[in-house]
Amino acid sequence: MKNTIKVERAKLNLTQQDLADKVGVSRQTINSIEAERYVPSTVLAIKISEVFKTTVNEIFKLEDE
Amino acid sequence: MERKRNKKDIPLFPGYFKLIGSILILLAIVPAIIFISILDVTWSIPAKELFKTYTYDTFILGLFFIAWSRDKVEDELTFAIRLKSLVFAFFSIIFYVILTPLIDFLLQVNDDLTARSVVFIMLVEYLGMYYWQKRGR
Repeated sequence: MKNTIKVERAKLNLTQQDLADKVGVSRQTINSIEAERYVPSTVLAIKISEVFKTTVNEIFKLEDE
Repeated sequence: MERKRNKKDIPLFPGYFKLIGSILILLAIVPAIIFISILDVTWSIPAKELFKTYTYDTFILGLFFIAWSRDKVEDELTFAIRLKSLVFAFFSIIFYVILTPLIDFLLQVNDDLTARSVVFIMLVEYLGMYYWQKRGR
């Protein structure tokens, strides 16, 4: 699953740690999601999309789309 | 960082159980080194069995406490890593149990597979896999 978290973070000038604090996970988790080593749960995906004030579909995309 | 716990979280020991586990491992290893390697004590058979039981069980309990205590950071990623590590330990112990008698037969050795050794290997594999997966994240 691809994602645009890094781009969205850059737009808001947020570090991985800032985003991690906002959604209540560790920096390592955000790093793993950005590196596409880990697919977040639905709850976490929604929390992340809320931080960026957009929809989950805008941030997370399936590989074959 | 601690996230809010919910009902679906697996129950883990508090973080300080890692320290208790480490102390238990030391309490298992140090007497074994002192009595067997340094003092070279000759044991009666019941005493030897009792000491062996103490050493193994204390060591296993120590590993269990380390394996099953909360990390500083517990979130859904660590939960996923724990699950993967458990699956790895479970599958590999099945192969171990199946292959050990075959290897013993081929090598003509009689190395009894005990419940203790199975639990010990599972814990070591779980811990190894867990920390290997956490590394570099």
